[in-house]
Amino acid sequence: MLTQSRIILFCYCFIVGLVAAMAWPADPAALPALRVFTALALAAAGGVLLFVHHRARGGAPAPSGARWFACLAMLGALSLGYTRYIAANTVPDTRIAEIVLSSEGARYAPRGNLPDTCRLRIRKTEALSEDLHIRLLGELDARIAVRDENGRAMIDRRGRWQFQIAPKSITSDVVVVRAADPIGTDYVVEQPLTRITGVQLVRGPARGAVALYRISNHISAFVRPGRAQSPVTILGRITADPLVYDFRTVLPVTPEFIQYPAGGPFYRVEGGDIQVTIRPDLPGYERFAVTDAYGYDVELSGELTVARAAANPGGFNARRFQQNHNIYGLVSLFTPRSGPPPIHAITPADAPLREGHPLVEFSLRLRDDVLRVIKQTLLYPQSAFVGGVTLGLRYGLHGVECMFSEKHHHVWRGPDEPTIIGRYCEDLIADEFKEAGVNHVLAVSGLHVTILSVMFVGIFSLLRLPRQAYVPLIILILVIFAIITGARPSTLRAVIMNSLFMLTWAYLDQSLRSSVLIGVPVAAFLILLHNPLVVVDPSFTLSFGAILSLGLLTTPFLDVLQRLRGNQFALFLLLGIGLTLIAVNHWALAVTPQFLLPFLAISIVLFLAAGAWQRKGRGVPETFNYTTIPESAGAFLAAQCAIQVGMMIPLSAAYFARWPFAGAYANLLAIPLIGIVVQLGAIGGLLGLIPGIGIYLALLLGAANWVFSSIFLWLAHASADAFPYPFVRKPGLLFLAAYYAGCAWFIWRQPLREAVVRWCEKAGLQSPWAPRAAALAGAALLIGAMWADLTPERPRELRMTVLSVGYGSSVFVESPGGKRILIDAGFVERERGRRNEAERSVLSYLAHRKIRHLDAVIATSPRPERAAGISYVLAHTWVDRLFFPPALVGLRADETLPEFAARFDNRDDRIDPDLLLTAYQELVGNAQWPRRGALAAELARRGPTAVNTWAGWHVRAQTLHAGQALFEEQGPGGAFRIEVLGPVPGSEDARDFDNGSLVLRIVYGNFAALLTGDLQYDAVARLAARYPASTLSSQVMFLPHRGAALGRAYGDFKPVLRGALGNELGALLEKVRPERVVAEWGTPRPVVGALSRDALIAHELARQYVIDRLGESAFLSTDRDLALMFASDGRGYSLVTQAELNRAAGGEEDAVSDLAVGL
Amino acid sequence: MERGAQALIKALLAALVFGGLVLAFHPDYRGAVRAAWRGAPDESPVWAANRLYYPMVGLPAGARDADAK
Repeated sequence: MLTQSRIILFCYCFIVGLVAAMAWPADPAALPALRVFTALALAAAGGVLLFVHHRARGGAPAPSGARWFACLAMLGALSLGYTRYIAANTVPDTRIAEIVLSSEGARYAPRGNLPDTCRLRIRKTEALSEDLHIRLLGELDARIAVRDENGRAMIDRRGRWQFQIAPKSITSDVVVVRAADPIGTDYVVEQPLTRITGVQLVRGPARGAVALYRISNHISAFVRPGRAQSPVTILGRITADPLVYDFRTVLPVTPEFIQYPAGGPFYRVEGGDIQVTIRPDLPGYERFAVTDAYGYDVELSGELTVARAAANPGGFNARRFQQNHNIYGLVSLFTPRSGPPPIHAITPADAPLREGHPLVEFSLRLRDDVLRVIKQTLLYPQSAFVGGVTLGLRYGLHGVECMFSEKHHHVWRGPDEPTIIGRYCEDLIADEFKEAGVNHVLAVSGLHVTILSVMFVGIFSLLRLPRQAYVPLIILILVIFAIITGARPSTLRAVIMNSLFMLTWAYLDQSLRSSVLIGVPVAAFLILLHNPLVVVDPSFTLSFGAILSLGLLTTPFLDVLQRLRGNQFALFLLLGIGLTLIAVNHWALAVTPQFLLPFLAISIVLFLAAGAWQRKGRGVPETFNYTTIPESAGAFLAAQCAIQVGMMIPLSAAYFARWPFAGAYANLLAIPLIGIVVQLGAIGGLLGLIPGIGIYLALLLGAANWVFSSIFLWLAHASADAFPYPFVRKPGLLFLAAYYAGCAWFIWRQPLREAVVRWCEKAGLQSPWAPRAAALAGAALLIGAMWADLTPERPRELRMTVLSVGYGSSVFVESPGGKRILIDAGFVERERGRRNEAERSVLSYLAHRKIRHLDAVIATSPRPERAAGISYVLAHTWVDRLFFPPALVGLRADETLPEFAARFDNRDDRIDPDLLLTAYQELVGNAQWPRRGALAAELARRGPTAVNTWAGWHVRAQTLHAGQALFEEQGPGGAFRIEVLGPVPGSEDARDFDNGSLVLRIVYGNFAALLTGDLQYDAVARLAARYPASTLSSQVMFLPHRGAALGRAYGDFKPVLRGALGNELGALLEKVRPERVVAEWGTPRPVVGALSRDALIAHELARQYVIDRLGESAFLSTDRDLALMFASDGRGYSLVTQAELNRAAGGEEDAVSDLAVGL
Repeated sequence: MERGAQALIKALLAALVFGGLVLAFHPDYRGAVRAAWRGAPDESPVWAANRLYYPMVGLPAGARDADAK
């Protein structure tokens, strides 16, 4: 037992060390010292353990030695975790030599040899009296790939790529180490070397030294994001199962050699995987879009890029997510116009194609065989669902619409019958699962592994085999299952834990609880030792959060629930049902303090009254209590409470800023159902492999599974439909720490209470109220910490954040007095991409900033790339006022398209009909898809009803026009206001679709920003002519129409546009005199369709014009610079771009020093 | 854990009965049984419904050849 406790403590110390490395990372240069320290601590712990063991065998126990062992082991574990994380998070360059300067010249003092062909850098390590000009002398063994008659690289049967070595003497270009540069500056040596023979001092000081570093050959060192790319050639191997979608296949490739740059030598790659994307039109696609491609040796040529980091503060960081899984580069291959395809599978000259690991090959083939049976026995899309939960093929559900949509109605209702349920549903199954809180079933984890374990134990028990005999076989099956399902952290965790449990159950006869206690930390230790970067990955955290919640919180919840009897139990049920109904019908009210506090007070009073009645023998008898529920169902309910409180609520909010409220209810049915679906899927899939009768048995089970999986899909659909899926404030570390401290108090409340009593007695506080007061103070502290964490920051300056929302606009303004105003909310792409910028970018950003109340939302234009997202913002945030341009006055949800079109001046058919229709559908509604969000419908729901008023949910809508000023206030740096400069009421522009857009000027003290909306260049000229320079002058100006105004110029519009830029925009720039010009830019195709090419040209012309006129640094673009964060104290202003933050955090671009590859 | 064995047997038997009912009443499943009986699994309506789901996982060559003959 003591040994078990020490193992548990060791594992948790390792995790603590790892988390400490995340919070306070050391310089990678300290890695060697850290490794030595870790080794010493662990060796010392081992030595002490041997000593203690030796003394114990001699009959002389050494308790102090045991303590020393514990301390050293804990220290070693902490250090191991810390070191492992730093090592995994960086690829350190190696210091290989010093170059010592003296009056006799430069002396090369090596510390070791280069291990391979490398690139080098010189680091300035001390002050120099003058510039140092130096060359490196050495040799390069340039690897040149041996190629066959078809020009393909060659490999032998043992997997060794064939190269010729071309030795060459190298004298590097002169590297200039400037005396004026700070110490620590790096200077890249352009020429790679395999051996260094010396240095040549061209000229420089007579004293001093510099250091020479070898740049790591990690694959990330060859990626150059944001630059003009040149193709590289990579020789490597497909080391995992290809991810096959219907429109592309992603090959996970481990590169072994890379030719960099094109025509250069091949480098041996020292780490990091890449993902290679191929599309069906690529010659030879079929050969790679199959499981058999696993293990192929490949040669490929393409541009090596990297996933984009977060575009907005708090946004999803795809680059970090991939790097956590060891993916450091992306290559997208396209069909060449001429020449051979860019990827080949390479066959050894004297042998067949090499294969991967035999166990993996077997597992993947088994998966394909079982999938074939599923396809033969289950109708689509139920087959995709069963394939996802049984085989981990969640990509099969990618883009699959809800089975109750029009697309699948023939499967559900028969070809000639109308669809009834979800007629207007266009939701994806995967999205419905998220909204219903049952998405976890697609992440193969403990639930699935346990279901399979129990199933196989049952099968082997029927065969009367002793458990000691079949447990190793079950563990082998679980390992194969983990490989089949992609060996994700959640699956690995479950397989390790179940294996440990099986082993202790079969051979040590231990209980489930003790096996969980040791299984969780050991599984976490093993997974994190292999890859520490997954510690922040949702699949890891949610999986361990779930199992810890189950293990630790279920019993306390059961205790509390079982105490409720009679009246109180009945009241508990009634209050629970009542609160649920209120939350389902009016989420905003249910989470508002003005409702929650009275509800809480009334609940307490009612509980007290119910207890008093009970004591008088009135009301419901005490026999009506939690224990009347069957034991297994009661435990299951308590487990659901534990999961919700311990994992779902805090971690879902922390990762996704959303809470799947439906999950608390849907999982009561979903989890038993998934047990049936997985077992029927697995047994049916395996039985189907039996020749002859197998397929008939599989059809029987598949037919039954079709019903159960249909019920599951319906459950998800109905739950997603009925329950809200709200955005919540994203909690920070302080909140999570306080929250889990509260959970710990709930779990160990009895021993903690005793400890507090003892502490009070020791402190001389004899009053019985003292422990209660201490507990209250502790609770107040925790609640205060959580409240403080969730309270949004209120800057005492103007902040203007231009969000990166693709081709669209969204600007968030915070006044010095604390007003929060959102101007536009981006586009909502309904078609293939289904990219909802309001949810993806705007609401995520607000949740990240912990903001759920806006003083105003301003829709500057009816154009969908500005206004479409506003209905979603209204659906999830408290908004006091909504401002429109004049053309949208009195917008109604029952307006027809002609009525909507009549709002605008459409002479000469100047409005693109498709654009007008999209605007109508986004602002008024779409009769074909009434479930979609639309602004007018959302406004109608936010009317001045009593409940809305109580919840603060009422929105007042109002139109704006030139001459108005909003939110005037006096800040420490001067006056703040938002001036409306256009459109002029009654003018021709006011009814124009584009020119009727609101023109705003945000002013604080001496700072101003001009938002020109969607003006075309004719209106730009009128704006410039209407106002004096003093009214327009602004440090920041937004390009009209995001920099892609085409006006009504079609055909060869470039000369017209060039003229407009020089005249109309030039006139406005002359008056505004901006220091920064902002283009809210992204891919225009989803918004403007066929005009996207013209929009791209228009944007490029505008960009070039601004750069020519104001210089490159003046031009800012939300596709290149990502989110732009302006701040002003009323005198000057500062700007930080998200691209700069990404560079600072991720070491991308041209970093030549140690690569920070993780956080 | 071993207690689950009896429950598993019962659940499987129930599923087989349930599946039998679906085979009897659902036209696509009836078609699937007929196609399996004829040795032409690629004519099964169930298989046809899955034509876009992991299309690279096809029927074994033997099954297709038998059908072709």
